[in-house]
Amino acid sequence: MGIDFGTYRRPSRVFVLITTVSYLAGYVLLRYSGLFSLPPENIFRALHAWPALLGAGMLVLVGAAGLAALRSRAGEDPIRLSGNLAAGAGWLGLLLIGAGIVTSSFTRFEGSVTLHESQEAALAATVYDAGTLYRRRFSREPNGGILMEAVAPFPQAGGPVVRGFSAEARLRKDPASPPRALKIGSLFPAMADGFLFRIAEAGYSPHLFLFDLSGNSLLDIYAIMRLYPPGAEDSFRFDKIIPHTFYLRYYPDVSLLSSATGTVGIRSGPAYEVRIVRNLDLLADRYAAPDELIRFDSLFLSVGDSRRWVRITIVRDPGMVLLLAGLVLTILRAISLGIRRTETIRY
Amino acid sequence: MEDQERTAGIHGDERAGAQAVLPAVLGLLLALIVSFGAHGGYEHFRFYAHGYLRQQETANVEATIKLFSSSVAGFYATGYTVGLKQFPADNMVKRRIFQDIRNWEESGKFFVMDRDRIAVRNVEFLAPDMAVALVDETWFSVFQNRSTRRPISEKQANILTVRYYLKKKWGRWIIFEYEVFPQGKPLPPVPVDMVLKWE
Repeated sequence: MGIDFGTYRRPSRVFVLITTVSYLAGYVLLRYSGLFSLPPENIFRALHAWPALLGAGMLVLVGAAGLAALRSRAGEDPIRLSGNLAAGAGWLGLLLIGAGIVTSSFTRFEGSVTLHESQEAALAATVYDAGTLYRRRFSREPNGGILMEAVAPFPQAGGPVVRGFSAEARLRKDPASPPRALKIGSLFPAMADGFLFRIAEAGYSPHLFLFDLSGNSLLDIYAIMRLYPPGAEDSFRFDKIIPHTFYLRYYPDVSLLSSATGTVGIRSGPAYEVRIVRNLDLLADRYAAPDELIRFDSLFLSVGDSRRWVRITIVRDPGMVLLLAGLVLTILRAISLGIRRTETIRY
Repeated sequence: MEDQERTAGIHGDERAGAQAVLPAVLGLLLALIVSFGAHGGYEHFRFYAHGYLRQQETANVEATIKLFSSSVAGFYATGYTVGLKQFPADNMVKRRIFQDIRNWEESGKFFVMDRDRIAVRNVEFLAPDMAVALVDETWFSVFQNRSTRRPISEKQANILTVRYYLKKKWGRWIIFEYEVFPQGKPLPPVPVDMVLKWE
């Protein structure tokens, strides 16, 4: 009676490895499924949670144990050297993946800054968009300032429809150092000083004016709004000044508004769709040409030209380097195993 | 002989495949258990798994919206802040409403809003503590002289679809944002990524 410890077999490294990998993958997939929590913003947020870190730590241990076992077997059979090297690359890959996740959880920095053309901002904690700043215990933050010189749509299709954006910016580490030019594309991020700059979003920033009945200008601002693609709606408020909400849609060319062209009275060029609401009272819902005055209550709103804006995500994550190197090694090992298996069956 | 070796190889592969199933299932099971326990996973799962919890919260959201609009009508009609404590709205929403009431007060007017009809079309939960409700509303509004309470404008009908964004704070739903559309107009999609970041 009782447990016979003599028959107990320690689980093999491969057993532990498969358990760890499926645990890690299962946990990340369950996070994305939304069954047990809101889906994470990106995969790193899921990997930095303690359950994933537990799995990452286990990967480090399994990888290290695999390497140690190979080392103890080294010299036993020189013919198997190439096989050992390949296996070593696989174990090292797993170790690096685990180490990469753990390193990332301590060092990742992530934040998004929204800038319109010709806008400059100092890269301080207050400049990042609300809810986008993500710092870990040993994160290094960018310093200095960024000047958004130009935001250009691409490809130049000749039509009003834009397929993507590229941004030209100048990055200055400190006031004394020369600025560094950055060209960031929708598809290709730029790298500077260990930080990755990527365009996360782009849009139009309309020039808004508020006048009183005597024509005095009360406000004159470029509002950053999510008005891309054409027809997308966003709203803005002059908080603390008036209680109104202004909803806007922007069409870079009135031809994009085929069904309503007749009612707009605008033959060519850009057009805005404007809706003005004061709490639960709908005051205006109409199309307007740039610089047209729209009266509501005892004020006038006018929407002028529009600039472009981009939301740039800045990331620094030393763990990513380890993670990528580990992934490459693991994939190579998987390929070598696949080739070996095919050769065995062919034989 | 060759055939035998090949068969042995294939069977070996099958055995290895079968042996990999156990740890894979074990790993997934562990992930499931951990997800259930971590980050309020059980509560989250329970909310979406049990229809009666969602129905209960839908009824609470509907009651909140009705209280909101009747309170708004009351505030505009009287200019008083009676019931402000129960008013289920975020401070910024309250500020906009009272700023408007004060503006009319200063110009010697009452802006009276009468709610005629309210029909909750849909309530969607972005998270157990965050809801988006689509409501068809009809309001009649008229300006009145502040001292005589006589109407000084034509009665105007506002037929609206309002999209309310609600958040559960300290056990009660409050409206922290809303968007107003003329009824029948196609609505833009809910900016979920932004809404989830609203504090």
